[in-house]
Amino acid sequence: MPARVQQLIMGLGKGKQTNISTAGTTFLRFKKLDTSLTTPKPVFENDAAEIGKGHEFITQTFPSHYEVANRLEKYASAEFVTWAVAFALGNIAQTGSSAPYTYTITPINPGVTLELPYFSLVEQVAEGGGNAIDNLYVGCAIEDFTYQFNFGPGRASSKMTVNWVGSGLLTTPSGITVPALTTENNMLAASMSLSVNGVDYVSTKRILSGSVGWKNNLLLNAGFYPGSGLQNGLQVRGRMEIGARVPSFQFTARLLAGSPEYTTLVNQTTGTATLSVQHDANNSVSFSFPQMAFQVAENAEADGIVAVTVTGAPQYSNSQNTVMSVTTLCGVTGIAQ
Amino acid sequence: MDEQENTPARDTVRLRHPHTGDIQEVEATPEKLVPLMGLGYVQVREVDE
Repeated sequence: MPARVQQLIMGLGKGKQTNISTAGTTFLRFKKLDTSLTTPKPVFENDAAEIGKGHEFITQTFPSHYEVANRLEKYASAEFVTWAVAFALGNIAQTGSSAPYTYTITPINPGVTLELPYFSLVEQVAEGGGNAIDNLYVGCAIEDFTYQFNFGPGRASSKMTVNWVGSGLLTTPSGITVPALTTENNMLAASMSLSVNGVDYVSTKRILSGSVGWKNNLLLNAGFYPGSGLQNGLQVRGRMEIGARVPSFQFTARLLAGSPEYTTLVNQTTGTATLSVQHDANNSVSFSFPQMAFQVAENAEADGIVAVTVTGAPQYSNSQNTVMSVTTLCGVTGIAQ
Repeated sequence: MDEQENTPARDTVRLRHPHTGDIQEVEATPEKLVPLMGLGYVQVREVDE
């Protein structure tokens, strides 16, 4: 009997793992938009290129390593964005003795650690009284996230995409009982406020679309160090360290007479950029760049209306000691704690 | 919603630098928290104290 992809039950580790190889014990169950199922990929080498065999064909294969990676595409809820940003940036302070809880999140300081908090991820697909898929991926880290907003109605106006990578450590069957679906509070773009370099793009009704992103450029090969460990004779990662991290910010706004974007670009004026969205007073996310310059301002068109697309150049602030911070409010406690 | 076992119920947050051991207790606002967290200070949880 075949299984439908809608039967997927996905649990994302709520608390951070104590180390890369010890599975988390608490999970948040989320829905998602993309239909991709994670595959644990054992990678094998072969001797095709080696000389001395008398031919160019494979005569032998050799176990190499495990590759595990996937993406999560979701409508942006306060709960999921908090989860994604917390594990992607890595330094989290949670305050509040009862819901809603406030999360203040900054990128980890590489002078302290190069490793982000690790999480576990479980995927289960029921089939024929058993499970076609029941995998627990241990020691996972977020490679990047992108928060996207667009004009238009509904939840599609505000989405969050995450790419994550696993250490290769895998438990099958998972042995995990995934909890009930997390109650999500989606944040529509209609709730947004956006201020960039002193310009309020919402009150002037100019803003159309945009994104905030973060990429960790994880040093994946360095995870396979001597002694990193084996699973079924294949190497697994014993660490996943951050590489050169890249924050990103882009937006498209209607172009008016006197629009300041080109002048801001030419003068390399810097200022703060803050993008906030909310579901209600208890569920919100605010991305903050303390020092934003513009890198590109390009004339564009959206729905026949003349617009300008600005690519920001987030700068490190010596007063805030960060390039970006995120503050969220949601009812789930203990995320990445 | 599940209740967290180790969240301090107060208006200040205790932050500790993992290397120097320096401890700072600051208001639980992003304005106060972010500059220290950017330097690498991490929240001291009840279970750590």
